[in-house]
Amino acid sequence: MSKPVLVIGGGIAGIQAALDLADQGIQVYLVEKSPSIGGRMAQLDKTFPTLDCASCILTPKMVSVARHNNIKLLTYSEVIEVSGRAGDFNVKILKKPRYVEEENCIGCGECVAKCPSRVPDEFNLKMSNRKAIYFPFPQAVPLKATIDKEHCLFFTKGVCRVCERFCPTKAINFEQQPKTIELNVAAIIIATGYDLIDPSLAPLYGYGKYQNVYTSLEFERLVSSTGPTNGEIIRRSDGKHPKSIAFIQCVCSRDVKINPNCSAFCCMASVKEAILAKEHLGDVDCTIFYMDLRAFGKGYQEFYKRAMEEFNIKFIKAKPAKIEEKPETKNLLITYEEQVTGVKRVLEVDMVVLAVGVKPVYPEAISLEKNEDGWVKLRNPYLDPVSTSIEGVYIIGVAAGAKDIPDSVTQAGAAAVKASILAWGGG
Amino acid sequence: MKSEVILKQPEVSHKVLRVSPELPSKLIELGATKFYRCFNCGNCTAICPLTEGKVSYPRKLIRYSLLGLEDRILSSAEPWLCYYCGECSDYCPRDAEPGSFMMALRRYLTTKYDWTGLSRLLYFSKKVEVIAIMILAAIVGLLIYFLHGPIVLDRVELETFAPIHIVDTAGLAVFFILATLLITNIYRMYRYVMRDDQGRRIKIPLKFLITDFIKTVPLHFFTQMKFRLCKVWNWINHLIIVYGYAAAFILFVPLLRFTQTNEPFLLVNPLSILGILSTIALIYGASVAIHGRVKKSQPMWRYSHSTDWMFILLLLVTVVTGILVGIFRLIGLPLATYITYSIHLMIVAPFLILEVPFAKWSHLAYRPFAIYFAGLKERFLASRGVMYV
Amino acid sequence: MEQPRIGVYICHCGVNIAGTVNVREVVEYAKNLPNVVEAKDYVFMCSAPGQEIIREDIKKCQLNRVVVAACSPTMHEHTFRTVLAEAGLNPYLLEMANIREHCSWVHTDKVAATEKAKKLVEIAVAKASTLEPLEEIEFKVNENLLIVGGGVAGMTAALDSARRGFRVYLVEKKPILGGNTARLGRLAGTDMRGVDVAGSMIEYVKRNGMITTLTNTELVSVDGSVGNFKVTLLKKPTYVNEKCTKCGECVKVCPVEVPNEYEFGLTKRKAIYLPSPASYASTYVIDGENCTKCGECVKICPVNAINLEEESERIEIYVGAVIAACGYDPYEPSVGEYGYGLSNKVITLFQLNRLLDPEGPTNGELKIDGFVPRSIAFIMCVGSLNTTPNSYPYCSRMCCSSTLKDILLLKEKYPNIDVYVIYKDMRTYGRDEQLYLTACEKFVKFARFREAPKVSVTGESLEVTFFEETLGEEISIPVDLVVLAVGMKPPKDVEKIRTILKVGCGPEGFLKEAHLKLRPVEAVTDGVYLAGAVTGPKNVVESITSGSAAASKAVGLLCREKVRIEPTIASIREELCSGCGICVSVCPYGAIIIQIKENTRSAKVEPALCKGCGVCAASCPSGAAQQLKYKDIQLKAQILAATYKR
Repeated sequence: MSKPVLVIGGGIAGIQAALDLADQGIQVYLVEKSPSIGGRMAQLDKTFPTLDCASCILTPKMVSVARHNNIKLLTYSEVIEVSGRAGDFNVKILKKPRYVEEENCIGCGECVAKCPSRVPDEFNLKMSNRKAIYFPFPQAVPLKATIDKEHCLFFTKGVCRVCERFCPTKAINFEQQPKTIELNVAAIIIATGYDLIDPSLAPLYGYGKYQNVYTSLEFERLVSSTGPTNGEIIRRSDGKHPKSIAFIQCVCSRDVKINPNCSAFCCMASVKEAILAKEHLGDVDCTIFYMDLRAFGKGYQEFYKRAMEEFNIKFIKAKPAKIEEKPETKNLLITYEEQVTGVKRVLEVDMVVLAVGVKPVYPEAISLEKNEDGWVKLRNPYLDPVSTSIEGVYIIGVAAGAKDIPDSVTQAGAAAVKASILAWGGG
Repeated sequence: MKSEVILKQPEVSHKVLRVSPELPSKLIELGATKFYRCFNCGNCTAICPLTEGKVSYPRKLIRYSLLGLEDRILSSAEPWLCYYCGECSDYCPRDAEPGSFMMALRRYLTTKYDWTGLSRLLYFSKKVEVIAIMILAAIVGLLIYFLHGPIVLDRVELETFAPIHIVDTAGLAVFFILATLLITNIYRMYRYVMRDDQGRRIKIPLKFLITDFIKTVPLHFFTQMKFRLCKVWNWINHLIIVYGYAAAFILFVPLLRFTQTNEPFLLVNPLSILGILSTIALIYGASVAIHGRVKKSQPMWRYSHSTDWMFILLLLVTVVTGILVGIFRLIGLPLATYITYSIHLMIVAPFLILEVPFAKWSHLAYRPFAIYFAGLKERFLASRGVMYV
Repeated sequence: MEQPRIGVYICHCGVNIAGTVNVREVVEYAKNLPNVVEAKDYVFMCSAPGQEIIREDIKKCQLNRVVVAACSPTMHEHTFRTVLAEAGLNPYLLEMANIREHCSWVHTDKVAATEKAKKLVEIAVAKASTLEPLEEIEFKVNENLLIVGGGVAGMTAALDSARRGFRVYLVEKKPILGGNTARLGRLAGTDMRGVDVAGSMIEYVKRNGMITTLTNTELVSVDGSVGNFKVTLLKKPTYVNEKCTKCGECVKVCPVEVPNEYEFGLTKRKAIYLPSPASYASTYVIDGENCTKCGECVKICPVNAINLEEESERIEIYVGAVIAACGYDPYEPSVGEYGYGLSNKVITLFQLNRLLDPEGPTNGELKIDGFVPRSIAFIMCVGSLNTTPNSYPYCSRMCCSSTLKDILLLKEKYPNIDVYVIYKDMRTYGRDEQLYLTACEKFVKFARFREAPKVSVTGESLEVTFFEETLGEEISIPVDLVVLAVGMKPPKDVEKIRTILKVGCGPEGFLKEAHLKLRPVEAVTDGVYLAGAVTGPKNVVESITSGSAAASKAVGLLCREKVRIEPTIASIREELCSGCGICVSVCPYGAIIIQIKENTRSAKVEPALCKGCGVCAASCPSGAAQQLKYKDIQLKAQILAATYKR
C-alpha cells in the first residue's frame, strides 16, 4: 500500500503534480491557501505560443482535481508545521474558516448577489470590486462561497447577516472556527508559485503614479473576457480605447539592484499581449521595448516572427529610461535610446504595460535552503532537478525558478514520479 | 526587418572598423572600473539630461571602448559634454557605472591630446606623479634659494624677500609656457575630433571657425551653462570654485605687484576683500570635494583616481599656505611669512604646471572647445547629408 | 429506438465565441430544432458550474442526447462525455458542434457567423438524433515499459519507472549509453561534467535489476496499441564480448581508420574502438559498417574476446507503454558556412566542449595546431533562427548559456584569452542571466549582429566581419579561433522512429506533443510518451526533468489494471460482407483480418489495433464496414441538415 503525498499550491504545477500522482493510485492532499485552485494561470487570458485560452485548458484540469477520488482538496488552508523526514513527514494544516459550510454550499451565488459590502477584487488585481462574501472567479474550484472577514459588515460592525438570510441551504456559519488537520505523508511537493516584484522599485516608470501604466498581469485581466471590463481594453484614466500601447520588458528583472535574474516568460507574455491587443482593438499600435527577446521555447521564435510580420508589432531594442505623463491627456512619454543610431527619442503612447519580474513565494513552515538571490537551492540540479535541500521535499513551477507553463507542467510530472517512488517505499 | 530606424549612410567608400583589445584595460586603470558589465540597454543615454538627438553617450562610447574602436573614441567630443550628474550610474541596471566611465574617458583623452607624453605618465603612474611634483617643487625651491632678495627680519617685507620682477617674470613665463602647451593640446584635440566616420579629416571654412568660436567658447568658458541642465547645485558649486580660482589668478598673476607688497595687505588693501572671497570659495570647494569623495555621496565622487586626490591635496595646500602667509604678514612674523610663502610657491608651481596642460585642470579648455568643435562637426556632417531620420 | 430528447448547450468561451456569435440567438434557434427539449448558454461550459447545468438538465428534463456547441472536440469532447457518464447517460450520446475553431475564430462578420453557428448546431442536433450508445473496450495493461534512447532523458525515465516497480527495456542504438550529454564536458552551475552525470546514471541503470539494457539495438517495429504493444528489436553485434580487458592491442593492429564521431571528428578512430573514454565503457566494440573483417584483431587478442562471426539478433518484447527519448543531433554546418571546414580554426561548440574536456583529444588543453589561441570569437545562432539559408527557424535554447558556460571555463584556464561573443539575442533565461553578468565581469566582449557574420579565412588568419547593430557600424574582429555555437536538430533517424511509433512531428521534424503546454511529454498516440530533446531543444536539466515527467505518465498508465479505448472504431456487419478483402488491403494498421466461418468469408476488425481512421468504411463496396459514431446513416443525417433550408 502506498502512503499519501502532500502538494502545496494549487496552480497549474500543483494541479498537474496532484493529477499525475492520483493517476498513479496515490492519495494526494492538495493544499491551496486561497479559496480556489487555479493559481496565476487562471488569471491569464490566452497563452503563448498557441493562443489557447488559459481557462479553456485549465478549467478541465481543475474540475478533474475536484472529481478525482484520490485527491483531497484543501482550499483556504495553509501548511503550518512540518516535521519528520522523507517517507514519513508529519504535517499540520490550518484550514481557515470560510464561514460557509463547504458541504452545504451549492455555489448558487444568492449570498453574493445580496451582500451589500464592496471590496476591491484581488483576482482582478483590484481593478474591479467583489462582495465581502464571494467566489474568487466564476470558474472557481471548489465553487464554494467565502466570507472575507475583514470586510464583512457583520464581522466589522456586527450588523447585516443578509447572506445568512438568503442562503437556500443554510450554509452560512458565522461561528465557524479554524481547523487543524494533521497528516502523515511520504513526500511533499512545493508548488507555491510567485508574486510580481513591486513595480515601484522601478520608480521612473511611474507605476502607481500614472493611471495608464499597467503591470502585465493587470493587462491580462483587462483583455480577459472574465476581467473587470469583460475584455474591453480601456484606459484607467478616461475609459477610452488606447490607440497605442507600449510594452516594456525587464521591469524589475535583469537589474542587479533589484533582481539579477531574467523572469523567463515575460518576453513571450508581452508578445502575446501585444497580439491580443491587436486582436481586440484592431486599430492600435503596439511597441515592445526589449533588451534580448527571449523566445527560447518550442514555437516561440516562430510566434515572435508572427507578431512582427503578421501583426505588425514593433520591436525596439532599448530599455526605456523613464516614463512621464502628459497631464492634459494622461498619455505617456517614453524616453529611450534608439540603438542603431544612438539617437535619443521620446515615444508618446496611450497606455504602457510593464512586464514586471517575479519573485518566488515559499511556504513559511518549511525552511528551504536558498541561493544568494533568494531563490531555492536545489540539492542536485542535474541528477534530481526537482529536489530541495530536504530529502523528500520537491519543488516545482515558478517557485523553483522563473519558467513558462510547459516547463512547470513538465516539472510537475517529474516531482510526481519522484514522490510516487517514495510513497511506495522506494527511492 | 524590425522597425528600428536605420541611419542613412552617406555615400562614401566603406571603411570597416577593426577591433583592438588594449583600450579597455587602459580605461579600467583610469577609473572605469565596472564599464565592462554593460549589457547595452541604453538606459544611460536615455536618462542623461544632456543627450539629445544624435549627441549620444555614454552607451555608444562604452561599446566603442569595449570593442577597442579607438578611432571612434578619439573623434568623439562627447566625453567633454558630460558633467557627471551620475543619473546614468544611479539607474544602470548592471551597475556598470557609466558616469565613472565617462570620467575615465576624459582622463584617457587628456593623455591622448597631450603630445609630450607627460600626461600619460602622470595618469598611469602614481610614482611619476609624486616625483614630478617633487622635482618641480625642488626647482622652485632652488630658484628661491638662489634668487631671493634680502631677508628683513624686524618687520615683514615680502616684496623685498621676493623681488616682484623676479616672481612676476617667472609667473608670466610659466603662464605662457602653460598656455602654449594647452593650445597645442587643443589643436591636437581639434585634429582628432574633426574626422568623419571614414576617418577622413573634416575641413571647416575659416569663417565658421571664427564665428563659432566667438559664439561658443567664451560663453561656455565663463558660464559652463550646459552644466546647469545636469545638476543645478553641482553647477553652482563649480561656478563658485571657478570664480574663486579666477579671482586668485587675477590677484596673484596680473595684479601681483599690488598684492605681493611690503606694506600690510590683509584687511588694509581693498583688493584683500577679493582675496578673502576667493579663499573662502576655494576652501568651500575643496571641502565639498573632500567630503564628497570620502563619503562617496554622489556618483561623481564614488570613484577617485589618484590624480583627483593629488589635485585636491595641492589645491588645499596652496590655499592653506596662502592663508598662512596672509596671517603671518598680518601679525608680523617675518621669517614664518617668508618660509610659508616659499612653500606656497613651491606648491603652486607644480600644481599649475602639471594640472593645467597635462591633467585634470585641462578641462577648463577642453570642455568649452568640445562644445565648439562638436557644433562645427555637426554642421559639417549635416551639410554632407548625414541626416538622422 | 426511443424518442430522442436532446439538450443543446452553447458556450460563450468568454468572448472567444460570444464576441463574434450572437449566442442568445443561437439558443433561441436551437430551441426550435426537432427533438430539442432544452437549450441553454453559459460563459464557460467546460467549467464546474457549466458542467453542472448539463448534469442537472439530463436528470430534470430526462435528456437522452446532448449537443454541446463550443470548441473543437479534441479540446473538450472528453470533458463532456464524462459529464454525461456522471449523469448516468452513455457518454457516446454526446455530439459537439465546433462553433469556435470552425466559426467564431475564423470569421469577423457577426451576422454571418451567427448564421453559421446555427447551422452547425442544427447539423449536430440532426446527428445527435441518430446516435447510439457505445461501450468502451477494455484491455488488460502489460506492465512493461519500452524506452527508446539511452541518453540522460531515457535513463532518467528508466530509473524512475524501475524504482517505481516496473520492468523497463532500455534500448540504445549506439554501443554505449550516455547519449550526447556524456560528451558535453563541464556542465553549467556545477563542477560535474556531462560524463559524470551520464556515468552515475549508467551505474544506477546497471545496478537496477528491473532495467534490461539493450545497446547497439534498433527499433524495428511496434504493433498494437495502448497497454499492449508488441515490439520488435534488432540487436546488432559488437563482435567483442565481456572477456575484453581493454588492453588495446587490437586497436594497434586494426588497419581501418575513420573519423571519431565521439570526438565530433576532431580525431580518428579504428574500426575496433572504445566507444567512450569514460571508465564505464567496459569493452571495445567493432563498428560493423567499417570493419573489413581482416581478422588481425582476432589474432592479437590475448583473451579471445573477439568473434567476427557474431550475428544480429531479433528480439521481441511486449510492453504496455513506450517512451521515445531519442535525443537530438548537433547542427552540422555545411562546408563554407562561417568558414567551417575551410580551416581547422573554425570549430563548433560541441568540438570545443571536447577540447576542454580532460578526457578529450587534447586532455583539456585548448590547442589548435599546438598553439593556444590568443583570441576567440563565438558566433551564436549557427543553424538556428534562420541566420543562414541552411539553418532552422527555431531557437535552440541551450546554446547561449552553454556558450557562456564554456567561456567561463576557458577564462578560468586561460584568463588572458580575448573572447568575443557575436550574438543576435542573448537568451540566458531565468537564473542563467547571472552567467551573462559573470561573463561580462570576466571581460568577455559582446557584439550584436543583424545579418550572419562573415568569417574570412586567409592563410593563418581569421577575421569575423559583421554589421554591429548596437553601434550601427560594420566592424571586423581578427581572431585566432572561431567557435560556432551550433544548435540542435532532430536526430537523424527521427523519421523512422516517428513512423514506427505513429507519432506526429512539427515542420522541422521534432516529435509533436499531445498539447504543447499541458501535455508536453505525451504523444498524440495513446501509450506513447516523449522525453528529452526529441520534442525540441532542451538543456541537460530540462531533458532530465522531462525524462522523469514521461516516466510519471507511463507509470500512470502501467499501474492501471485495464485500459479503455474509444469505441469509435470500425465494425463489420457480417451479413453484408462478401469477404472481398478490400478493407484488409487498405487498412494502414493491419487491424482487419478475413475470417472463415461456416465456409463464408467475412472481414473482422481487431478492436485493439483499429485506430478508427475510417478508410475501410470508405472503401467497402457493400456498406458492410461502418465507422461507429460515423455510420453512413449518421453522416446522411448531417448532410441533410446541412443542406436543409429553414
